[in-house]
Amino acid sequence: MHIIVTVKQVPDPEAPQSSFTVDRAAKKVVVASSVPSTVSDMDVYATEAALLVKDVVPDTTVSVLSLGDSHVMDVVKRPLAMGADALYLVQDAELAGGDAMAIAHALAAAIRKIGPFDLIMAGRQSADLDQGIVATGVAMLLGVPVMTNAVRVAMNGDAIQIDRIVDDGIDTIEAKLPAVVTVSNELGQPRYATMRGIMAARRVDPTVWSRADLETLESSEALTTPVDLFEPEKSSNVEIIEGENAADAGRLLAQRLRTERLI
Amino acid sequence: MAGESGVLIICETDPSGELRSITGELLAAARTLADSMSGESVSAALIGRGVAAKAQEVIALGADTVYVVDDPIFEHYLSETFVPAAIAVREQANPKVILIGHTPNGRELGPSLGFRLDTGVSTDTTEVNIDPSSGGLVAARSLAGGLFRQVTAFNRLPHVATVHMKAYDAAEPDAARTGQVVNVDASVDASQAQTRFVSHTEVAVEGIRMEDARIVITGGRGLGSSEAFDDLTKLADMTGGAVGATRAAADSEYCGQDIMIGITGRVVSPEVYLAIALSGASQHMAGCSGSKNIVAINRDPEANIFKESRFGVVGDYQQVLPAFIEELENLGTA
Ligand SMILES: Cc1cc2nc3c(=O)[nH]c(=O)nc-3n(C[C@H](O)[C@H](O)[C@H](O)COP(=O)(O)OP(=O)(O)OC[C@H]3O[C@@H](n4cnc5c(N)ncnc54)[C@H](O)[C@@H]3O)c2cc1C
Ligand SMILES: Nc1ncnc2c1ncn2[C@@H]1O[C@H](COP(=O)(O)O)[C@@H](O)[C@H]1O
Repeated sequence: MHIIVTVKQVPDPEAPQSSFTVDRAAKKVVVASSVPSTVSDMDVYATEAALLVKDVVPDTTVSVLSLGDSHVMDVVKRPLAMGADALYLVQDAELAGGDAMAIAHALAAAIRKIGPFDLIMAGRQSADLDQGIVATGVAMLLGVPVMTNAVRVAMNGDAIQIDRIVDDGIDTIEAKLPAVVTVSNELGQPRYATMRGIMAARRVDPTVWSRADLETLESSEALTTPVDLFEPEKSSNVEIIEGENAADAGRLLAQRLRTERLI
Repeated sequence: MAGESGVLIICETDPSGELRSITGELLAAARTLADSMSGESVSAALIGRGVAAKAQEVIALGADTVYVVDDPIFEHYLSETFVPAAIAVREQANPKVILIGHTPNGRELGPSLGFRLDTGVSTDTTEVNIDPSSGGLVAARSLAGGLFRQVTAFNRLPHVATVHMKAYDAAEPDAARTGQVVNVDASVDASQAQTRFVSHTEVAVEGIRMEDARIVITGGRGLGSSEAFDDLTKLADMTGGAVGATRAAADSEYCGQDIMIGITGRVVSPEVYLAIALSGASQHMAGCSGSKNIVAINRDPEANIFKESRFGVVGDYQQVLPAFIEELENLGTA
């Protein structure tokens, strides 16, 4: 079985908020150079989901695919250190900076070039854009079914079965292969990289492609136009309740909320 | 298709066939859009099993035309069946704009429909407007876990957006409103399906549903233990509230993942949001910033949560909270 995990490298979202600013004219987020890159967190869960399948299906290969313009090898090799086998990098600033549809086209073209697959695992949403669009686009462009926000994945015969959280509980659904599954953090703690995994990852030479290598790229046309990007204003007018000590402040808070008829 | 006009929303119903609250929210958003499109109309797609009876309710909430796709095949959501149904409705309604709830199912339907129609999509949109110069949709959404706002226009028709839950207030239903009901045969061939619904498991909620609660009491990593969460439950029982958590608290296993609030969790907008020992990270605030009154208890005066709060106490929750609870007990029920 061949599983492809799409992995996006993003600026560490846990970096101090002050290291992210906007260039309003360019409608772009500016990230301070001190911010390290990391794997978009949901893609770590997607990797875990792929490895859970690999754990039980003999002869499974997990390939990692990332589109970007400044891949840091230690970052994009993290899924390999967890247990994935191969790494494909598409390096092109324009494609990587495109809108969801353009990115989906580029990933779909890269997947066609990688070859036949049984499963594609992606994150439910990327940590920098929070869109939750790209993986669905990849599925549509490749003509395979998509199931999103998996919190459990398991093989059921030759179908992939998932649980997904819906409004009042959990739906269990399944798809024939090949299929695309997006994965959410409720899947459970992803495995850590092992020493052996880290050593093995070091020895993997990534396959690196440029735009010109994507022979089947159909389009990089954007379907949306950015109009504005800005930092929302926060009107900080908090009323701090003070007392003689913390406990006193707690009492006064209760009284205040009661006077305001809030509690 | 040429001659697009008006706004189409996709209704959602619960397993007992009742309209979900997002339906009214979408209709409210659609109404404002349609009004600024010089009075174009609002239509609604009602897709499900045995949903036809709800058409009048959809009209009462603001739809001019309801397209009903009623078939047992739509008992459970699957993109493979709902996308063709939505497309069948779109072909009849021919809208400029399609609005879908950013709900568990809507966040799958929106992008799927967008790609199928070869048009752009904005997800988790907090505000929709019509650009007076182009007559097209402009959609605002959060980016980078809520740090920034992004406003997007669309290059092709129709314009598709999934709308953040609770971003719009539903109108009061007006039973006297009149509208048209059109039955649509989506003729979806289930035998060709690649995906299959297996089962639905109800997750029992203890106490009141977080989304319906007037008070939500949320604990963060600073609580430090699951015992501390028991105190929050006690406070919730006293006040008729519900308990929530940050991702850091849930990941530390102080509580279950199912009560996590935020960009990847649940979305609430209660009257009172009591935020205890949580820092107010943007990814968390994305799930609660619609709250009417945020009240923070945190020992760090610089914590971001104070910037978003109406009332706050700076101090160790271990001192503040017991006194707060005791005083509420003294005050008796409101
Ligand atoms: C892609 C992505 C998605 C995410 N999605 C979500 C999401 O949906 N929901 C979510 O919540 N998070 C989410 N996060 C995580 C988010 O960035 C924060 O890490 C998280 O919200 C922090 O939780 P916290 O406030 O409980 O913990 P911390 O940030 O560690 O804050 C703890 C706070 O408790 C205070 N404190 C400590 N001890 C005490 C005490 N004794 N008394 C009083 N105060 C005390 C501290 O001063 C501090 O402010 C996401 C992150 C990423 C990268
Ligand atoms: N540039 C990229 N390279 C690889 N995978 C990506 C890229 N962009 C998005 N993805 C995948 O698509 C998922 C959803 O991204 P998004 O639609 O941007 O929220 C991510 O979690 C990734 O798995």
